[in-house]
Amino acid sequence: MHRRLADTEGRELSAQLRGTGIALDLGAIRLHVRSPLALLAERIAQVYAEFPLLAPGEFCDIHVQVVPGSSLRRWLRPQARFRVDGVEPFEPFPQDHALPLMEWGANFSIAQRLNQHLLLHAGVVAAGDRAVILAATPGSGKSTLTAALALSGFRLFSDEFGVVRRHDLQLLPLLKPVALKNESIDVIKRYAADGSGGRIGPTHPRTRKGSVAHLAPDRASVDARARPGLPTIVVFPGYQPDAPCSLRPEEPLRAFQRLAFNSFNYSLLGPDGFRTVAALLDRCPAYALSYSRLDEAVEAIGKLLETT
Amino acid sequence: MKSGLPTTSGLTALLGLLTCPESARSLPLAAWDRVLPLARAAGLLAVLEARLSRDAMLEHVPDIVCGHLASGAAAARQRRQMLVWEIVTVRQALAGLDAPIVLLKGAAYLAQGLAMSSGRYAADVDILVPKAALDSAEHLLKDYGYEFQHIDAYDERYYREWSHELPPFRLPGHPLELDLHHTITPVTGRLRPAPELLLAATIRVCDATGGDAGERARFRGLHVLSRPDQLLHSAVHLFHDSDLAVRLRELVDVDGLVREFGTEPGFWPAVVERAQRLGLGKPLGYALRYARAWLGTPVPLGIEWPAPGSRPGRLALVTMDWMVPRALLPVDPAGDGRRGVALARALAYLRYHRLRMPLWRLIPHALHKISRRHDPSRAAAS
Repeated sequence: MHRRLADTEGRELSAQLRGTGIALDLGAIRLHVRSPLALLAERIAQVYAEFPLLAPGEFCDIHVQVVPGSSLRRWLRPQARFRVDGVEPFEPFPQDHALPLMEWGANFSIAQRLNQHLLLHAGVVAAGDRAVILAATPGSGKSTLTAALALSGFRLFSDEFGVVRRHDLQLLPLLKPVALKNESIDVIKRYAADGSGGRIGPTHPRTRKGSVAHLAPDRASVDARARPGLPTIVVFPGYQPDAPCSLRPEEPLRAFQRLAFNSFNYSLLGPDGFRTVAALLDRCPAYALSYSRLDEAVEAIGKLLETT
Repeated sequence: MKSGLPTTSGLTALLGLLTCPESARSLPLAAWDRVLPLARAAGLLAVLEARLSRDAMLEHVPDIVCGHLASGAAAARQRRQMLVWEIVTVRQALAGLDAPIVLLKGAAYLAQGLAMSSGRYAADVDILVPKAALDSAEHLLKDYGYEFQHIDAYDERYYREWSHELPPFRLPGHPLELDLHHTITPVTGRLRPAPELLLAATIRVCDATGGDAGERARFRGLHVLSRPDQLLHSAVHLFHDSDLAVRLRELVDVDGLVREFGTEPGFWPAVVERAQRLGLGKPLGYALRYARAWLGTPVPLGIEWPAPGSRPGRLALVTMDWMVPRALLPVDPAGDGRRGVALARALAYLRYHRLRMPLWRLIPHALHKISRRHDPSRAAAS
């Protein structure tokens, strides 16, 4: 049995991160991270706390590095740079934002490279192996709702990627910390405090996407990350201030559009993308959810899953 | 180290797989961990998939690796479709042109149905028309809705006076750019093969064999360069008109063309004759040299430097043997093959510009580019 990151001594973790690096087994992929930044080691230990500490081993799907900025800037305004396979796709970030930089960089790489699967832009949670796909455009509260569901006992798969294996339509967990932005940080902190109390990493103020904090995946979800889920319902959530919680069946054509056009690689996959989305919606009833209170939305989704 | 053979294990394995997909049988997972990032950096992931699949080797590849290869292949399939779309559109836009329309490079490989085009990821569409027809081609494209990509007056003048192509066109809503050429090398460069000779030898796409007949019908009426000229063009493009940086895939093109055409009777004598006639012996010699050394390209003995006087001096050859592998091959992020790469790429970059235009023209051009980089009004716009 591997030790978890949370049970590893800080010094040991940062030495491994600096040396051969660590492998984060996210379920659908293995991410290899190397970095000499002790701060990043500390942050990773917080938001990947329940993940086992693995050496890179034989094979990792994505190899990333977070390295300090070069030259004089190092002393004035320290920076962090992200590299994937030796290529730098972004401008540097301030060094205290090393974790958001790594997370965005990893998401960027995943979104480009996982075209063997249909990649929905969706949160995914499950009760046991029966999974709910929460598909929505950015800014519609998808991550917040996914976080609330994860804190309410649902098994977390991802807040960003619905990974659909094309040959058998199974959903693969791609388990990463849930990225909470701006107001949703406090919302989820309150939600967690009222309930089971999840682990939320430090807030990074004034990043390119505003303030960002990460909810660490819970132990049960981490331990089940190799187990695929059965797509059972599709929900299109829409947060509306002061709206009562309401669920209505989404009409098929519109459901298709909302699912397909929100995917990272629907058009890249061509006919295969079409067939996979169609098969998914043949199997799963689709609903539009509007809500203002998280607890009501969580309850509604729970009931829906029970009765489907 | 003959012809600067690459030294890291990842590169050796990648080149081995491209040349001989059979080597996949014995490749351990740990080696794939090095190969995939390199193949991706070189833009060869889907080419690798195509070759392994052609030789029925995918079953010997670990599942997790097959996933990555399939991902690359899916992206290349989409790109291929974009390429077909653009070729068909250009053919329609230029239907009224009273001159041959010659597809170059990726578009030509695809239209001829060459095996080497599977998995190949085309950056854009290149076509060649006679200089006399350039103006009418430009007007026809613009009438059809094609627009120049955003460029300023200096760039436009640069393209029109010193380059071998017009600024890139794009039809709004279309993903790929279209480059309209009137010859295959910059008009200010050292090598200037006469475009009339190239145009006089072109062949029609439907006369070229191979590929799917239904698809080829969509390209009816379009031309491609003669086969020897296609090989020469790929060599010239790489060794005379590029900065070499991570251009391994273009050497793979050279290799692919040789394997595709090299066994036809009369091909090699024609290549030698054309290289002499067009004055392209040196770039061809370099291309064959490195292709043979790294990819095992089957080049007949005695075709080393195909034209009298095309053999470079000893010092030039030693320098190229040091520089070319460091510039052309992707750097193994996990390996130690980084030494000299930055210097080699800087040298290759200087060489490229030096070949492209004489110094009296290059210096003011470089100064203009540098001053513009520091112009705050442009920085704000970008």
